[in-house]
Amino acid sequence: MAAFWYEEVVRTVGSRSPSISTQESYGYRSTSECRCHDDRADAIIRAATYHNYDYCRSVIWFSPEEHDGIRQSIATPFPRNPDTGLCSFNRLPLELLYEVLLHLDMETLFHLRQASSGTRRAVDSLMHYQAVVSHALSAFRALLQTGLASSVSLFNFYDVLCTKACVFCGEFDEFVFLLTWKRCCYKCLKDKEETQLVPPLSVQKEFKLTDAQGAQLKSLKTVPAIDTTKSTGNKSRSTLVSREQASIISGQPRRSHWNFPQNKRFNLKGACTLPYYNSRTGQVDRGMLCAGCLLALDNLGLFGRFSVQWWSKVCDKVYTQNEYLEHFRWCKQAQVLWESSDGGTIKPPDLPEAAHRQGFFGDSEERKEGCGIFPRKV
Amino acid sequence: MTSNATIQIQNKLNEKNESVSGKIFTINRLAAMQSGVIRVMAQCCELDEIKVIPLHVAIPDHTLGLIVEWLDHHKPATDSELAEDTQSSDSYKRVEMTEWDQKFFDDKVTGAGSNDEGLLRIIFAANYLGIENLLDMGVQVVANMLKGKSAEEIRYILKIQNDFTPEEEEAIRAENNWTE
Repeated sequence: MAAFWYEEVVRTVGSRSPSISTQESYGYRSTSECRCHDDRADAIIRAATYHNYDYCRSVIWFSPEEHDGIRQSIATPFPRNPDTGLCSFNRLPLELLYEVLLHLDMETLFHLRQASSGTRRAVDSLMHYQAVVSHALSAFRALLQTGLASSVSLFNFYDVLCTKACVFCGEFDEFVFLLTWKRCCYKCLKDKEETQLVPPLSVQKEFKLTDAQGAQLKSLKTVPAIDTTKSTGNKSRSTLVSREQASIISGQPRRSHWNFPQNKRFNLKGACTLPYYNSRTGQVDRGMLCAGCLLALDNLGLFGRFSVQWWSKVCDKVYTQNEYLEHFRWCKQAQVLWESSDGGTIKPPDLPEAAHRQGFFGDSEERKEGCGIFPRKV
Repeated sequence: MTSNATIQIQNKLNEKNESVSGKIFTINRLAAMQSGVIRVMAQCCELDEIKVIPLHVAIPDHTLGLIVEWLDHHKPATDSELAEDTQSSDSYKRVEMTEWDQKFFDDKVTGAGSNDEGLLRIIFAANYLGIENLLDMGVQVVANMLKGKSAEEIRYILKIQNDFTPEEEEAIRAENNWTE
């Protein structure tokens, strides 16, 4: 059996994407376009997509309840008559005051809000700041906790929040690499050498950095993984630096024998979730995967017929809402799920287990309670 | 016109205010053209005839002198370089401050015991004259004054009072716990 499976894989590895007619004949792609109405979009997404919490929880992760205590105070000024201003800087024309605030880093901005009711009001009136605290509290907190908040200005933050594509591969995903503050998809985060984080001692050894060079390295403090359900997380905090940056500072290339996967085990400790905010429409996208493609992989018996790369590409593809509705028009199995969901009101009987549990590991109930990104599936 | 051509700017005369004396500043043409206001005025009137460009907003002579000095230092070499410098209107692109700029602001604008007034005057004048890069640097200097400071230090720099009530202090403590 194993040998057969291996043969199948070898036979199909490297082959190109199956043609459209092949996809149609095996029931993966629908033969006619499914015209869905815009007002059904939410229901379709409820029935035929899922959010993979395995990925979210493997990076720096906070459950939404952890923000509840500060959610209001971080976003709104205290009720007060506007009698105090920013002293002499209050005389700056408003557009110049906003320029100053956009230049400030997130850490200083956080402290500025705590200086007086006037400074607090000035920061809170910025549309950019409001977008950050409405949609990206986790990333804001991760920056403050890792000590990287001083290196990201409000404008940088907002800019990446409004950027859809991974800086390496151009695909949409909901993660940000904190050390460079660039949007990054999960795959690139795990695999790219540019996102490799290592303890400072390790780069000292590899690149023989001088003390002055070592001091130039940007570093981050890890956030202790506090998993409330399983207290297996490591509570101590350590320092990590970028191997890429060390290589640039020392002027030496990275050595290939340091590229082992075990040397990439810290990569995810420098990343956090960051939704995509479309500043034009105001829509927020946290990313969704297609349950229909997963169903096709489970049920159609096509694993050996289409290449492994192709399957992993379609099943791990993260969509924005608009991208997904586009995909849905031709995804036969997603349409099957939708049709059996009674207009999105019941759980489709064929919904794959991993989609129902919102990931392959862990308890589904805890996930749905804890995340609340999508309404609980009925 | 050669790159050595000069033009003259006459500050507004204000009889009640001694620091605004109607003084005339002579400045290299290309250097002066970094200002949007001067660029428009120079294009609209025949410069060969009218040698002096009058300003209609009073800027203290000392401030205008500093601005002329800054413009001279950042003089574009050619007309095409000037066009390049003034064309990009990407308002969030930061200009790089050189060591000279840093020293200029430290020694002449914010330094020597002067309060924030000097810096504010430069920013106001750059705003009026439409000198994008100088305005951007002024804004950066203000931001740098606050950068990395605690709430207490920010109050000291901006000379503001802590006006929070005990309940509000409690909310702030909760914010601080959230970051740890």
